[in-house]
Amino acid sequence: MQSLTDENLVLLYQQSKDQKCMGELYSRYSSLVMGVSLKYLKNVADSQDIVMQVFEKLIKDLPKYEIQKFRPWLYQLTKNECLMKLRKEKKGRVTSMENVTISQPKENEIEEHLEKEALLVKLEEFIPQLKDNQKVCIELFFLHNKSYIEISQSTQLSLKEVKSNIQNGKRNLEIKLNNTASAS
Amino acid sequence: MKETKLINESNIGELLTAYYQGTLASEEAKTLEQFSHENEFIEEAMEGFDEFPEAVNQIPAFKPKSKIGYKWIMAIGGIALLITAAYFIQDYTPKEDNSGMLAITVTKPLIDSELEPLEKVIAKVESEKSIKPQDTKALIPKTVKENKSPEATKEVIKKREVFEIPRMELNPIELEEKATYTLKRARTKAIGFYTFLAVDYSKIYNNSIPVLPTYSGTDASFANKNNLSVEMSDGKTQSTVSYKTFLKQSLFLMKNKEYDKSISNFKVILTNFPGDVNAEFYIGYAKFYQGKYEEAIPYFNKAMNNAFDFFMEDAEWFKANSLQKLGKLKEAQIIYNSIKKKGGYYSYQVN
Repeated sequence: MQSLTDENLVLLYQQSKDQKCMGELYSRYSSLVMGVSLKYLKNVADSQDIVMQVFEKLIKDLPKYEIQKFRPWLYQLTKNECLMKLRKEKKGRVTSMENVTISQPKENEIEEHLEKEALLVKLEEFIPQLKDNQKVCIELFFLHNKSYIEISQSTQLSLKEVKSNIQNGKRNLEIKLNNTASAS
Repeated sequence: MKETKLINESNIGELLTAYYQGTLASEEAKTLEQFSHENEFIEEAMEGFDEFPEAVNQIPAFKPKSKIGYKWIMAIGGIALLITAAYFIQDYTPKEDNSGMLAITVTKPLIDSELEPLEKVIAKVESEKSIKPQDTKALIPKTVKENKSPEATKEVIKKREVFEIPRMELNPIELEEKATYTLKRARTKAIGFYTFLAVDYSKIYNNSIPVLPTYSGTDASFANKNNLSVEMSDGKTQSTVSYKTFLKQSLFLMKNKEYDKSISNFKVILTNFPGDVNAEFYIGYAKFYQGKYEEAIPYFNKAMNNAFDFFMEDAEWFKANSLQKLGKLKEAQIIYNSIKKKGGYYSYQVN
């Protein structure tokens, strides 16, 4: 069962309602669901609840749906459950999740590859414009394939600072890319 | 970055957990970090665990709810209440002590698996895919009806002190225990020959297996049973035997540790009945005991992916052992962890 794809496991479950399929999906994705819930709910017990809710929902509702790509579907479901919980508790972090859409994988791999190449060329233009720490971290991580720990060791930055520099740098690059795209 | 051999959908959760437990090798950690930046789901999960790294050890265990629903429990409770009420209304007093009565056990007949073969299911759905576009938004349920607390208790898994590969040749008590356990899981009929368990395909396979009279491994007790001889054009006679007889014969060879002959018999079965899970698993099993671990693994994979999940756990266990013997300890450990997590027949043997 381990060698089956997510989609095949879903199909098998829809056909047989075999709990082993669900068990396999659970072992693959419970940690991801937990992690995403932690990000949004900032609470371990609530996140544990979401993990149980999501998979109880899958057990009950999976046979009703035709799912082409299970992982993005589960990601969206997890975020919706978090959103629902936040709404119930009237916390303020709701608006940032409203416009989330599922990113569908592209069919044409060659096209995707070419797009990536073009993107990389543009990125290399923008990287020098970043702040120093962001620039160093982004270069080491994306261009030299260094791990967070390796970057932390070579830059004397803490692990948290490394991650934050990479995330902020990435966000700034995205903004620059979007601005270029809208200008052209 | 595409999913690599190092990271794929079946081990991504495992890797993420290992990453935050600090047990992932640096190369794997690096690949996971890189991969996370191209996959929102993993990236956000890692952001969550970055804030609460201790939560990686607090992921609730998978425990599906009982299939008996609330309404059924209410109905059964109601009936029980009515019976009790009727008993008291009629003022019925039993005059004899019931303690001497014999318990009646109703045994439910085993049913053949109702599953369609996986290949068939996949082919069917693949053909439907092109017709129905997916409306992903419509798929997301909109209301939350339940908010159950997770079950914090986990099953205690006994540790084994010495690594020992379990035998498939079982004594009568073990055989009965294993048969009960396996049948309960597999929902298919099983047969046992020479202390080996196998799926009973005899209700499914109607044709017999053509064999030359010199075929190997004849057990004197059944050599001439259920076989028919046909004269060939070259004057030689060719026999046909039933599937059951041939399976019995192949397992007889296995029992005698004549692995090469047993393998060649099982290959005949596979030629005549492609997808036969008995043959897939026992070829792997024989090769394992011949020390040909590399060759055994593909057969265990086939048995694991077979629509009949009869040997699912056995194949998984022997695959992990084969990997361990080959020195592929990390890959083996991933399977051992999965076995332990699922809590099946072999889980107590996993460290």
